[in-house]
Amino acid sequence: MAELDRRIVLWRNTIALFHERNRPRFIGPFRKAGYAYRVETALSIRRTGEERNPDIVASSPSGWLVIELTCNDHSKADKLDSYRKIDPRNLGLYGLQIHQSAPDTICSRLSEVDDGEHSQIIVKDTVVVKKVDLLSDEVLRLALLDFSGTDLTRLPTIPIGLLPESKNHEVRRGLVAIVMQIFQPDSKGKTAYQMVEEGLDKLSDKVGAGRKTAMKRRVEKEMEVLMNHHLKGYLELKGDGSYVPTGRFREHPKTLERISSALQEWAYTTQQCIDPSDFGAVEHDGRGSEDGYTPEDDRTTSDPGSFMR
Amino acid sequence: MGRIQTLQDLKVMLQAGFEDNEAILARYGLTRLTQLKAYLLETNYPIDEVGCPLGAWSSLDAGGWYVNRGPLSPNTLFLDTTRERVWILYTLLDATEADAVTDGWVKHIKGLDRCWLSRSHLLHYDNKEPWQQRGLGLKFSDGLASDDEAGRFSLKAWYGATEKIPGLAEVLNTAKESFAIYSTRWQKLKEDSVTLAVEWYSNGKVTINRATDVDEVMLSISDMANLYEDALAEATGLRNDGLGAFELNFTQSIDLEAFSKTVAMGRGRMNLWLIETETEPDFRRFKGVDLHTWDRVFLDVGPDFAYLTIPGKGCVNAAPRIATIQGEDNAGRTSIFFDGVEVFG
Repeated sequence: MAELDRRIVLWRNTIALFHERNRPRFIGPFRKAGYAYRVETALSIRRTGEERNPDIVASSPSGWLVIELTCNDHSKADKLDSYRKIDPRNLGLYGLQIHQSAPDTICSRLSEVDDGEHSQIIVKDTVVVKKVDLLSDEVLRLALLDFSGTDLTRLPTIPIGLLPESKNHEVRRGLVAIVMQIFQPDSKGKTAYQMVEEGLDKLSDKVGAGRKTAMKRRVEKEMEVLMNHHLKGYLELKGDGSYVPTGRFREHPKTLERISSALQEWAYTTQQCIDPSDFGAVEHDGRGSEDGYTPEDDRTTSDPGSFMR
Repeated sequence: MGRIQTLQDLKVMLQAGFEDNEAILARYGLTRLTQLKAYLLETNYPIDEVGCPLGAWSSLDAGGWYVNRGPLSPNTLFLDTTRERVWILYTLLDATEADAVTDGWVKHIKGLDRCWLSRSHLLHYDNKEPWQQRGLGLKFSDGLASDDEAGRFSLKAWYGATEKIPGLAEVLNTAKESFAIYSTRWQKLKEDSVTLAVEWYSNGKVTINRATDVDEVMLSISDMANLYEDALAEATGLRNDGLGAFELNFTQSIDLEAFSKTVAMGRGRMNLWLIETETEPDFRRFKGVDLHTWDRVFLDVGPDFAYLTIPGKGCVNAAPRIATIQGEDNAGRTSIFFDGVEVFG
């Protein structure tokens, strides 16, 4: 698997485990076990009220669980331990079934790392499940065991295009369709901040202002390359910070094909960038205290910009 | 009939037309007057932001009902906006003009679309007691193939005389399973007499071929609008609650290479402008925009299936539109699923 899309693939392959497909036939183990899920949940620790934001929280008639998604090679044991203390009575806020017990805790990864006494699913090309005996929900345990070894390479794309940790080439890939929208008739264009919001999709509310500002700067850098090289003459930056089509753009099949081709080259072929140090860059800025999503990251990883903890 | 100012005026005019047509039918064996047509339209905006395709809208006495006024063909369009997401446009214009007016309106107003009726919608009256199916239309344009190689198929069969040809029923059934249905014709019986004969089309149009009661006509069209609005609400809820994708299942294999070339230029009936982002011999991923609304869409396409993801607040009406058009154009019979359960059905 190309390094480029690891984070998006991790999310895509984990989310798919809650869904079902006819062709090719695929029933995710969480779906099979009757779990409904949410990705935007703010929950709190019983008694102290400390906020916790697990990546995925899900509930079924037979149990409930939280999933941490990470590409980081550090253990998530501490974070998952803390999730065990989440007050389940707040699940009702998200339309999920309420339970009295502590949740099952699962770490979803692309490669194996020791996450202590927590279950693990490795969702690279084929799924591998680890430590499922730790699960209290027997229905889920059996569904996961049954699912082990299933191919995960052809699952539906998820609507999330950008993650706070996306690197330069990942930013480009996440922006492709958003940039295409700029060329709609009577377009008012889009600012880099709007692009960030749209790329984050359902995660937008979870990501704090500081991180969004950092993402905005990365978007601006990549858009500069696009505007000055690949789509030179078709795209311009207005004084109000919005990227708009130039007067040269006409909605014609040849023009659309030319733009498609340029965007494909920008996002999928070349890696031209302004500052070579951007390659593999990790963002250290934009993690202010207003960002409720990040403080725990700093405690559990040496990679301070890691969204995946 | 004078200027129509109330909903009752409209009903009286339509009722008179139905009765005249029935009288002509009884006397000459066919109808002569222009038939009533209605178009189900999917909207994301209130009426004052959408405008009128012929002149300007003027309110009737009943809330949410409008008639067009102005120098261009006044009193020919009647709009029921009483539902939030699905409007009904009634007209007595002839078919060519009515289609052109509706197509032009939908094309120029972003956020206004037709309702794209699934096979389940088109066969909604199947096995319902007072209804009899009287015919169907099938279509397969093979739009991704070159003109020389295209295996086009088009058929319109009216039940009745066709039943007298041995073996034809089997042929029709086979074709019905392989290709997209683009129209169905139904009649409603009361005491062995036809009280209503209609033809529904996959693009949300209905033609009233015969009728005896205007309220029965409007109720039947309204029922289909309600069904569609319920399907839209269900699909929007599914999209909003998670990160899942709609699944389209086809009966015809898609030429992925031709599909990729077509959508890169934003050409073809599908009206999609997409960039290929991942290539396998029998699986491709695309990202781009639906040129009809300029909403973003992600499409993962296999030989006989596609996954459609609609990010953000993109309109879920893209799912039935893409399914219907792609089905008639190149994919054959198409069904839409979410988590293995058929939606828009």
